[in-house]
Amino acid sequence: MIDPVSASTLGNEFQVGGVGSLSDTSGTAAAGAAGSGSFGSLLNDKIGALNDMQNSAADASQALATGQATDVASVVTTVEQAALAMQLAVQVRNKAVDAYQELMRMQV
Amino acid sequence: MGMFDALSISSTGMSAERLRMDVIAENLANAETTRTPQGGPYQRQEVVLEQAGPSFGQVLGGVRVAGIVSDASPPRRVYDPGHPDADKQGYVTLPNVNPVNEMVDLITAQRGYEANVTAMSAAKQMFTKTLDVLR
Repeated sequence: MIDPVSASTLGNEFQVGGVGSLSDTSGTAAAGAAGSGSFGSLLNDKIGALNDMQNSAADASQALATGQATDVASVVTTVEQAALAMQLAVQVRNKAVDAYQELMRMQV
Repeated sequence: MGMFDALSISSTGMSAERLRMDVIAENLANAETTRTPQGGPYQRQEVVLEQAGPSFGQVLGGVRVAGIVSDASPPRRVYDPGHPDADKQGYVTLPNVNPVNEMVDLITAQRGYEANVTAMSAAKQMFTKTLDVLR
């Protein structure tokens, strides 16, 4: 029920994204135009991974409720991982919305 | 090193302690059992733990149960001629389970489980506190 692969890839790719953006500041405009490296596609991947975690948490909760789950600890871990990943995603979204509103309020 | 490795590792620890608890309950329940499918009295069971190898993308893997083994120490012999399983001399062979040892093991497993729960909630608090920086 635990899905360490999706959790770890989520973590790794966030790290890679952070380090890469530091070293590649000169090529940001070119990378933004390209499809694979853009912030939009990265965000899309992450939201897909988040959705997978939410689905596995829902499956684990259902297994616990119907009495099929034998290990309570792994159910709790799956649900907690999904909840924490959702908190992180909400914070990232808040930052993006704040940046957008800041731009909209700008006096030209 | 993933974001949630600490949670997964604590989860393996909680599973292992829970299995220890199960085996101790089995030992206590069979403390006076004189008949088993293999013949002879019940033998005390013990859990053997080993460090789990890391799965893909992880550095640490937590703990894993290597197996459940039988305690080979000699059984207790008690004089009780009225017992149906007494031998010719009137002695009954009882399991090598000492309830006092089992109770101490039970407390150890319980405290170990609590320690894993505490580690897990500490990891969760660290993550939440880090997210608070963004607010």
